[in-house]
Order: sequence, then C-alpha cells, then structure tokens
Amino acid sequence: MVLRATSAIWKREMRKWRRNRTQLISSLLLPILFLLVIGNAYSGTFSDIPVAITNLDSETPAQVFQEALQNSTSLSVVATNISISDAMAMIDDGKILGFILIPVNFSKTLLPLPWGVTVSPSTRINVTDDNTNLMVSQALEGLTAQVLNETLHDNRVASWFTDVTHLPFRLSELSIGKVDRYATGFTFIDFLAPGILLMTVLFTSLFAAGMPIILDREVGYFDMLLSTPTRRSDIVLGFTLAGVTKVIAQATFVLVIAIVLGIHMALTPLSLLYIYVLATLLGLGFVGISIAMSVKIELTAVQFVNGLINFPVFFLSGAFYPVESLPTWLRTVVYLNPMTYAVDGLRAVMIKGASILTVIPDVVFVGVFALLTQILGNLALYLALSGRQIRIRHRSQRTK
Amino acid sequence: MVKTVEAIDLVKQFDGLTAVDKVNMSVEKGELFGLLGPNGAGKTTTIKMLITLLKPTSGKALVAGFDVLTEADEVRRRIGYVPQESALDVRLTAAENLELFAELYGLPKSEIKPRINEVLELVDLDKRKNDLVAHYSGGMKRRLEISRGLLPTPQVLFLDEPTLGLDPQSRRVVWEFIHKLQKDWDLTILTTTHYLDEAEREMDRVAIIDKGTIMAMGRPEDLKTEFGKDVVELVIKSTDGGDSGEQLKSKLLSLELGTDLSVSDRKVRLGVPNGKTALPLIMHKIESVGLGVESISVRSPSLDDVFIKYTGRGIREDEGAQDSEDTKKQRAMMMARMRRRV
Repeated sequence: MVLRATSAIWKREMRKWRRNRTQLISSLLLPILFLLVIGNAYSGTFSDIPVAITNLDSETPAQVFQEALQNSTSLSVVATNISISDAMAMIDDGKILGFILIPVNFSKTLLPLPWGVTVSPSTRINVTDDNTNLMVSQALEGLTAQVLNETLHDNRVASWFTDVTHLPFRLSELSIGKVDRYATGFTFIDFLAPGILLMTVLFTSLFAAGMPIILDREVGYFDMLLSTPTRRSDIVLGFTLAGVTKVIAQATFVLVIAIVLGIHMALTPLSLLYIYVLATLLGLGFVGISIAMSVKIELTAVQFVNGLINFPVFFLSGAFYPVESLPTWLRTVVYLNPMTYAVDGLRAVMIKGASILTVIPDVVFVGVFALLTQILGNLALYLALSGRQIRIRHRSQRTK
Repeated sequence: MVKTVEAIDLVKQFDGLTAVDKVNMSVEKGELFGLLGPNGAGKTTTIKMLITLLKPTSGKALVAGFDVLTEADEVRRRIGYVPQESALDVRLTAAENLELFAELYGLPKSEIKPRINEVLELVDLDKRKNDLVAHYSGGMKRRLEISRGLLPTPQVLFLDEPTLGLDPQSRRVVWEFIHKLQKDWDLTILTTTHYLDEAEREMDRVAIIDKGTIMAMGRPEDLKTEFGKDVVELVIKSTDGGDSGEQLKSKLLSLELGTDLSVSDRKVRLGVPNGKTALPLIMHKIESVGLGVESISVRSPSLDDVFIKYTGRGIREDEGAQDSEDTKKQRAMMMARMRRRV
C-alpha cells in the first residue's frame, strides 16, 4: 500500500496525542478561557466606575442631571459636593476615577438669551478624570454626554423651561441616526469568536507537527525512523497530516464551545465547509513553518520561538483589536499577515453570514501562504536529511 | 569467511575536525564484534556511517554486500539498529511501538502481528506486550528496543551501547539475549561499549578505538596474550616523598623490570613473562635504588591492561574529571559543529 509509512506515523502521533491528557485538557481549556475572559473584559461596557459629583447649580435641570448620573449603573457616586481640591486628592489616591462638576450657570445656559447667559467655556460640564486609565477615561466622557442628553429629554426640564420663559421647550439638537446593519445584540464575544478559533488553529499548528519532530530528534528517535527503508517524504507527510488532524479537532472543539456559549453564528453547510477549509489551510501554513523550524531549533527554545511568532501574528491580525486602531507602519505588517485574511474571511462568513464568493480572495491568500510554507518546511527538512547529518545528540541521557 | 560489514579507510570530519580517522575493519558473518573505546572515541559516528545516517567524508563501507553511500536503501533493508539513547514512545504499548516500525520496514500486513509476537517472545516480553512502555523497567525497555531491531529479520544488528545505564543483573540478561540471537539466527552483531569487562566476556572480537583511530583489533584472548603473560601490580612506599610521578617512572624504567610499565600516583603496573619467578627479582631491584614496596601482586592480564597499553590511559579515566582540557575542548567544539549541521 502506498503511504503506509505515512499512515503509521500519523497513527502513532494520534495515539500519543490522545493519551497525553495534560496536554489535551490544557489545549481545550485555553480557547474557553480566552473567549470568556477577554470576551467579557473588553466588551466596551462598564459598570460601577467610582466618581464624585459636585453640583453648584440649584435649578431643576442640574438636579435632574445629578439624579440621572447617580442612577446610572455605569457609575458609582462615592462622594457629592466636595471641593475641587478634595476631588483631585481623591483621584490621586485612586478612590475615584473621575470628578464631574456641574457649574453655577448650567441650567441658565439652556434658556434663550434674555433670560440666560452667554455660553462660555466656564459654564460647560466639567469632567476631570484619571487619564492614566485610558479606557475608563474615554468611557466617562461618553457616559456624561449620554446622561446629559437624557436629562434634556426629561419632562421636568421642559416644564421648568416653560415656567421660566412661558415658551414651549424645543430641543434644537442634531442627532445621528444609528442603524445596525446586522441582527441586533452583537457583543464583543461575537466579534472575538472567529479570532479565537483561528488563534487555536495557530497555537495548535505551531506545536502540533514541529514539536514531535524536535522531541524525536533530541532523543534519537528520528534516527531510528531514518534507519528504516522508508521514503523521507512519507515520514514528514505523516507528521504534517497528524498536525493538521489536531488542528481540525481543535477547530471543531472551539465551534462547539461557541455554539454552547450562544455566540451569533450563521452556520450553514457551506459556511461550515468554508470554516474548515480556511482553518485547515491556515493550520497547514503554520505546520509548514514549525517543520522548517524543527530542523534547527532546540527543545528548550521552542516555547520562546513559538511565542515570538504567536504573539504578533495574533495581535496584528484584527482578531482581537481592530486593524483601524493601529498606526500606519504597523498596518503594513497586518496586511502581510495571513492571519488577517483568515480572520476577515471567517468573521464575514461565520458571524455576518456573508456569501462565500465575497471571501474567495481571503482563502486564496491563506492558501498561497500554506503552499509556500509547506514548500519551505519540506525543503528545509529535505536539505538536512539529504546530507544525512541529522544532529547527533550531545551525550546519552541514560544515567551512568 | 563472508565479510558482512567492511569499512575501508572510513573518515568522518566535522568542519575539519576528524571524528573518525581512516578506520579499517571487517566483521564476519555470525560474529559478535565490539567497538571498544571511551566516550567521544568515534564509536557512534562509525556506526552512524555504517547504518547510512551519516555520510562519510571519504572512504568506503559495505554492509551486507551493499555500499552505504550508493545503495543506502538496500543497506537499510538488511539492518537492525538499536540506538544508544532510549528511543521509545512511553505512551504507547510495546506492541504499538513495534507496529509502527513493522510498517516502516514494510513487512507484509498479514505478517505484522505474528512477527511482533515472535520478536517479543525472543526477548521474553510477549506477556507484557499490551502494557504501556512507561511502566517498563530500564532492562525491559532495552530488550524491547533490541526486539524492534529484529523486526526486519536483519542480517546485521547494530547495538550502540546496549547495556549503558543498566544494573549488573539487567546487563547480564541483555547479553544472554544477544548471545541467543547470535546463535539461533546466525546474526552478525556489531556493538559498541565502554565496559571493558563486557567486551572481554561477551565478544568474539573487539577493536580498540581511540580518538577516531583503531589502535588494536582481535579476539580478547589474543589481545591479552599479546600484552604479556602476567601483570605485576605494586605500590611504592611513600616514605621517600621527594619523587614526583615522572621521576619515579624514569627511575623504575631504568631498572628494566618488565614491559609496558605504567605509573599512576604510587601504583605501578607492568607486564612480565612469568609472574612467580619475576617477583623476587623485582622486589630486589626496587629496594636496591632505595625505594620500599608496600604491596605487590601478580594476576593474569585483562583487557584494561591492553587498553592502557594502546591508549596510554584507563578507559574510565576519560569520563568526567580526568578529561584533559584539550579533549574536553575538542569534544565541545565537535558537538557544536555537529549540531550546527542540522
């Protein structure tokens, strides 16, 4: 039978993999942890941000505004009507993350000119925040504006206006009509899920094929394999296929988790096929890289080198953070990163339910990447083996 | 006699450093042949060239009648190899470990199971074939590795340090199996060892190899006879104090006590045709130059004596602390170069 050696190596790798329970469990836990921890931590919603409020205006709109701030679940008001210097001290001590100051003339700025005062910088709502905590700082500004908007729509503000001016209250604001293109209720976890699936593919494939070769090389097992009358390419193919099998198994596991967690997915037979083709190609690509590395790298360096690849490939792909948040010089890396295309294609198909035709370029790019690294990996191993100078192990590990 | 393994002027260099230097040797069919030498002498490098895992820099080698360079695949079909390090999958059972290699050796599907049972029976592991190798003892692992080398029904079995790291009892058991194989299968076995007692006891013929060169070759008995009939060992009294090792040696050499004289600290070893008659004369001569003899004994020569004669030092001295700085440096450099190659 053709490829007997290949299937024998594959079988061996599968047996080893199945029986290594620690490795199996940890490789299953990692995607769950990532989805749950990162998915929830970076969801963009906040609650209980500690703040202090000082209200210098006794008119109704200011009272309504303060009330709304105190009722917001995003904020936790820990002190009211304190002096500015006390508030600054509290920020310095880390007791609050923001201080909201409602100025004396706040309500009057709502009135037309004869009753009111000219709008000047001093009459704006003043938010001082701990800008070392960047995300909270940005969120506070947005939240304050949102609460202010709600205040202006409050009936009590309108009747106060009419009481003072005997005119009907009409808000002359420009608003943005935001329409969700896709089903409502998308969360950050939904956005993250395709990236986590591909991250699992990336991590698995880098370890799945190269690592066993390095281990075999270090203990002299590889020499044993090479001392048999087997074609070298059959042996390498066995390791490659075993690696890809592990990738597919992992991808399936993440898909199942995603379904259990109730992540928005457009699963049809065609989209499933696309997911698997994309995951397999990306896996093949990184299996190729790990095989190329297995020729040179020592066991002790594997973790480090893999980290060196994992980290930029994952974070510079838009899997976790939008590409738009990166500076221009880093975007070049993003556009050369095969992971970027895999994430883009997978997110479109898996979450948005896009037509397969629109994501063909993505799969082509990943396919070319897989082809190139497979050539690289096999060539590197071939060159090493053709000299038949697979490294001789330093000294025996047997105890003397 | 048929030569099953033959090496002619075999040389292996790593970036100009010579690991194996013009090795000439031949192993006859059915023979148990041992390469004997300290760590780093070039034993493993020689074996790796013979089993087609390393390309010789120059020279030629034939295994089972095929050239290791031009007919590598034919050679691989006819050899079994048991490497120095334990190369087994501990998460697989013994049978599963063997199954992989039965496939790699291309045994017919229908023969795989009976063949695995047969080789496991040979090394007395058939009853534990479905146990995970993780639960095996060191000796059992070694026997399993030997049985794996037998899967292709080889003409030559290469055993690299077959008893390294085993306790004396396991070592004896492993050798028993090796002898059984040699006899029952008419197998040619080429092994390496740095245990001199094993070489002396177990092997038909040995080659003493040091720094990549074969220093002597022959049957252990013949090598010992060549050395001299008896070995005299004596310890010089330390009362005089003044003499350094070198001075002592030259003083003793001038007395013409016997052949192959070696001095280590105050211990003196030399060869004489007849120990019983030589003793009084030796005592007399030593005392005549003002030295005292603390103890003296006569014994028949061992392979250790032969080894010291050809290499100038004991085989064990090469391990660890007593390595000369040069040897250490040279070995480190060679290892680094070997590693860089792949």
